[in-house]
Amino acid sequence: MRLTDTLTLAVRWDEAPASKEHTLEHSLEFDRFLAGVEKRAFRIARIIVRNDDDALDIVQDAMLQLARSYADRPAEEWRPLFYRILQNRIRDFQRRSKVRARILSWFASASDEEDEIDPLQSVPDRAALPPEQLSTEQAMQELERALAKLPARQQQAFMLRNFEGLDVAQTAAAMGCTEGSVKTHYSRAVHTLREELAGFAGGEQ
Amino acid sequence: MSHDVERESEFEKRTRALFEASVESLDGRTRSRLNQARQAALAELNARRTPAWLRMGMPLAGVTAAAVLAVWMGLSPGMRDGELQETGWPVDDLDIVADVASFDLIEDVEFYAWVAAQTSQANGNSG
Repeated sequence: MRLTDTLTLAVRWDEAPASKEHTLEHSLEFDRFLAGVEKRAFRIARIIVRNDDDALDIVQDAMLQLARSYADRPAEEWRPLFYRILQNRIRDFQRRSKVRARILSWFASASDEEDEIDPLQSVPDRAALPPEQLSTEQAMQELERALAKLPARQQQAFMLRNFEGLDVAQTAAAMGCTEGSVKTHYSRAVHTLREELAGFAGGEQ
Repeated sequence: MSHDVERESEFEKRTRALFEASVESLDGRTRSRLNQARQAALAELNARRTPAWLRMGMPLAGVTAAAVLAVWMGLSPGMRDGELQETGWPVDDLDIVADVASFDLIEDVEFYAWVAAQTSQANGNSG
C-alpha cells in the first residue's frame, strides 16, 4: 500500500461531508464581502462612538461574530446580518460608556470645586460659514455633528439607507424592526438633518 | 411636491457623496487595522473548517504511517533485530515518525524507507 493511499484513508475516515461551508471559494467570497464593508462600517461606527480605536474594536468584533455565527448563511444575508451585529456592538459600547461616565462623574463631582472654562466655547462656530465655503471635510464634520444629535433609531435608519445603500427590507432586518418603521425613522432623520444643515445642498433655507 | 422630492434627493446625494469621500480618505493606519481585523475573521472562519483531529494535532496519520513503515521494515531483508544498529538507523527514529506534529515528516517516510533499502542492499553486497 502506498503511503499516500494510507494518508488519504486516514483523512477520509474523519473528514466531514463536503459542503459549501468548507470550500476555499466560500472563504474568498467571505473575504471579498468583508473587504467591501470594512471601511464603510468603520466610518459608521466612528460617527457614533467618536473614537477611532473604539470604532475599530467594534468593527473587528462584528467581523468575528459574523465569521463565527453566520458565515454559513447565504451570502446575500451577510450585509444585513453584519450591520445588525454592528449596531448591537455599538449599542453595547454606548451602554458601557454611560455606566463608565456615571461612575467617573461620582468621583469627579466630589473633587471639583470650581467651574472650569470650556475651551471649546472660544472656538468659532463653523456652522456660521456659508455651506459653499465649507471644505468637504468640514461639511462632513457638520453632517456628523448633526447626525450625533439624532435619536439612535433615526441615526441607524439614515446611515444604513443613505450611507450604506441598504434597501428598506435589508435595513429593517439590520435594525430588527418593520419596514414601515424604517421609512418613518428615515424620513424624520432627513427632515431634521435638512433643518439642522440649513443651506446644505438641498436643505431648508 | 416634485420640487421637494428633487431637493430631498439632492440632499441625499450630497450626504452620500460626503460619506463616500470620508471613506476614501481613511488613513493608512486605519486601513491596516481594518485589514488585520478582516484577517482575524478569516482565520476564525478557517479554524471552523479544519477537522478537529487535525487542529488538536492528533498523530492519527502519523501512527498509521509509522505502523506501515514498521511492517515494511520488518519484511525487508537484513532489517532484523540487532542489525538495525549496524545500519546506523536506530529503532527510536520510529518514535519520531509516530509522534508527528508536522506532516512534512510524513512525506520523508518514503525517503527513509529508500535509505533503509539502500543500506540493506549494501550490507548484503558486503556480507
